[in-house]
Amino acid sequence: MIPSEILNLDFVLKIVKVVISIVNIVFLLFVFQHLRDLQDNYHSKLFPVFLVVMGGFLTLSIFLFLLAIN
Amino acid sequence: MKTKNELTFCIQKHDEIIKKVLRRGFIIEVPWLLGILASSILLITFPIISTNSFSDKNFLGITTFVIINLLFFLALYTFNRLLNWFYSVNIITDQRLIDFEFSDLGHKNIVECRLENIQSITLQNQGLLSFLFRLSTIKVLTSGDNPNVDFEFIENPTKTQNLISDLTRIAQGKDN
Repeated sequence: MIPSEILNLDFVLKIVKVVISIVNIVFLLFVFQHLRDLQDNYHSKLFPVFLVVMGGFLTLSIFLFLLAIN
Repeated sequence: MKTKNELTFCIQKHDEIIKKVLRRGFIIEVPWLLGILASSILLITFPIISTNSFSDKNFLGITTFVIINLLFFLALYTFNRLLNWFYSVNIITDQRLIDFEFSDLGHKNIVECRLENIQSITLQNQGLLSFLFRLSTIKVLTSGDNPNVDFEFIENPTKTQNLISDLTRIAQGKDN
């Protein structure tokens, strides 16, 4: 038996939002891993700057996730 | 263009001195950056266009959320590609040439060739952008089964070609 909550449009939209924000966070983690790999090969002095930018992206993605679950 | 000794890379030997670090000209990255910019403008203007068409509150809510997430994705994708451009360097040392190439997530190609194995150095111009902005590709042909090295779309190609030639002559003992 399908719970009545699933048929609720708001609930479905919330699930879609959560899934989209999780996809973004996963992509962010891939990029972060890629950045580490790049830095391992060629040691750039700008690495801390790139980390700060990644931190900004992480903050934004968490904000979007919180927006999705609220 | 840097010739600083404080730069290091993963496969560097303790007695190896970096002579030059080269990167593709940034102008080569501009066309796809313009594409991203155009996509972002389209995404931003979409809710304004669609407001009249869809009056449903739920639809507008999800549309705005999806657009914000797509913009976030585009920004992250742009950052990733810029990182690839920044870290894809060509290094000339006093012992060898190394070409680091990063294109996608998890994809890298590192080619190195020793100076004594270099047979010929070719300078090529490819396309309108390289013609307009004086960017050239240096193709280094090596002997035997050693891989060839390409330095793509670099600035001041003649200086670089001369440097590689001089270093090669020294490495091959033909400097007299």
